[in-house]
Amino acid sequence: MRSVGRQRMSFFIFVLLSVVLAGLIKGSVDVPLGELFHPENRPLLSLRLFRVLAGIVAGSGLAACGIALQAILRNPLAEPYLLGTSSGAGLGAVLAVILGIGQAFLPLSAFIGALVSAVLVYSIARQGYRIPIPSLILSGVVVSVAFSGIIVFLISVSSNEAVHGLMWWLWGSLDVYDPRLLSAVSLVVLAGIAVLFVFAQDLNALSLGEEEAHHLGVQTERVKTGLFILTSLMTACLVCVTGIIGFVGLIVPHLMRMVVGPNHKTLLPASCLAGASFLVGCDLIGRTVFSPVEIPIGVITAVVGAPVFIVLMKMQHRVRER
Amino acid sequence: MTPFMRLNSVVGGYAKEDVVRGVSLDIHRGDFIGIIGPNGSGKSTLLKLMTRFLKPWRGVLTLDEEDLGGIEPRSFARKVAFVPQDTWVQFPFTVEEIVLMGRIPHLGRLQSETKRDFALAEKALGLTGASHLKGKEIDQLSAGERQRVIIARALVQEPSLLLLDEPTSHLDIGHQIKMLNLLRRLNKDTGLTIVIVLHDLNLAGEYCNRLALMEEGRVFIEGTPEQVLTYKNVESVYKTVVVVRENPISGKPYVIVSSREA
Repeated sequence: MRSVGRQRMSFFIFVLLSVVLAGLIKGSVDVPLGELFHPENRPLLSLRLFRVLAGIVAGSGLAACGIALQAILRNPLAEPYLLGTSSGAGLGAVLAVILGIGQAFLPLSAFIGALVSAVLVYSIARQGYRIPIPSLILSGVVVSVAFSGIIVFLISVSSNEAVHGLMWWLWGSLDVYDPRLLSAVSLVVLAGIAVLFVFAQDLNALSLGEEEAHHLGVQTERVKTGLFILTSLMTACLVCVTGIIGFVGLIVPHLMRMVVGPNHKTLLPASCLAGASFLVGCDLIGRTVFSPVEIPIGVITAVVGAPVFIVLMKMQHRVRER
Repeated sequence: MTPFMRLNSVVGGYAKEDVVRGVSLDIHRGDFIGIIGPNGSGKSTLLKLMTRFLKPWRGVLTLDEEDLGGIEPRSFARKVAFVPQDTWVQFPFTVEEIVLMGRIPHLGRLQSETKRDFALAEKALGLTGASHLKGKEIDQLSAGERQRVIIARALVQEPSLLLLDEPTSHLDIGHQIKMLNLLRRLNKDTGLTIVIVLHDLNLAGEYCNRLALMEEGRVFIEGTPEQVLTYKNVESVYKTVVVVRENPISGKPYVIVSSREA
């Protein structure tokens, strides 16, 4: 049992390392492995290193947040953007560009937008000292729809050409233009993943139901609130670097639950590795297949992710029917 | 002897409506108490107050003379375990994983299960007759199998007090008897204190050493099955005509319903 888990984990690590290597070598120009570390290739290498790092951080962070939210909300459609962070960040970004402060303050205003919408969703859902799950999901949907409406309205009435360049916000990009921002975000996200791992047992208990978790001595309201805040912060941080990369936080958790089972002690690390590999791989596809044109990464995650997911789901059903 | 758990004029419920309206009850170590009463009489709510899922609005609940509200949640979960009517798990955990979750209150956050924890899980599954289900996924089991797994998880918590809310209502009579026999064995052999909400008056009379008959959020009468299950008490609370006889095998009271309206 244990050794099977270890084998699988080594397999996921191997996959991630291979994808990372491919991500460094391949691109609009292919650099052979031997020449990668030559001095003349240093700018290219650092550019690609940042890209790969962004993929690892965003992929594992979104997968981990998706797992936590699916466990707490016990809803298969739960994902990191459910609490309104994506539309909030989008609105923040659009406003920054329209106000003409996009160059310097776009990440900051996206971050603020994400947090504002998370707080808004949270306070709409709140009833006294409790946050009932159905009202949280509903208020998340309502805020997202409202913000998306405002975004489209602003884009359509704005004469500012730059607003139309905001496409990458809506579909995401691992193109890093501020290494310091990326480092800060990586720290927050990786620390967040570590905290989620510490709460793996609580997530197991919560995925049985709140009342069940209560009977196992879990302080459900506290843990729920803490993890909502943590996941909102993590997604807000990610969104301000990479934009909105959909699908990863939704399907990687489901995929890995089919592969390694629902126990969060293994599910969480496995999903982080898989999420990271998936994003680095998708980015690789996005920047090589139609090179020199770059396809937004969110498009690739959807186009690659959906069929993979459907095939696995069907396989799972066939196994179960036996 | 001071009672293990004591309820003193407890009032509580949901939102604005009080469902339990002043219940006092002493539960002694080794008791097998049945809580009976019509729908909406506050049985399940009373149990939720005893598990601390609901906070009492008035009155006091104590465990070993300590106020329930002051006990640290994990330490409470090591003393009191709960079995619901039915458990619907939507993630494909294996039976073993589910049972091991009963060890959560005993384990530190990053601590993994030891040999002893696995042995306890094994033993509990053996006791509930579910050993063969160990590797199966919980969402593939029948209601009866699932209930045995959930009871095994409660036992793995190593509680002194086991609370059950109509645990047999989804089971056929064969499985009902098997489960109640198991509870009786645990009660007799290990001294596990049991409080169980039951709909079936005859099962309650057969297995419990004391019964509390509830009506509209209060205890109508409390005592031995012989004292509680009289036709007068049952007719008055359930508004139904019944005849009470003696079970020829066990000598316990036996309630026979009649279709005549009260």
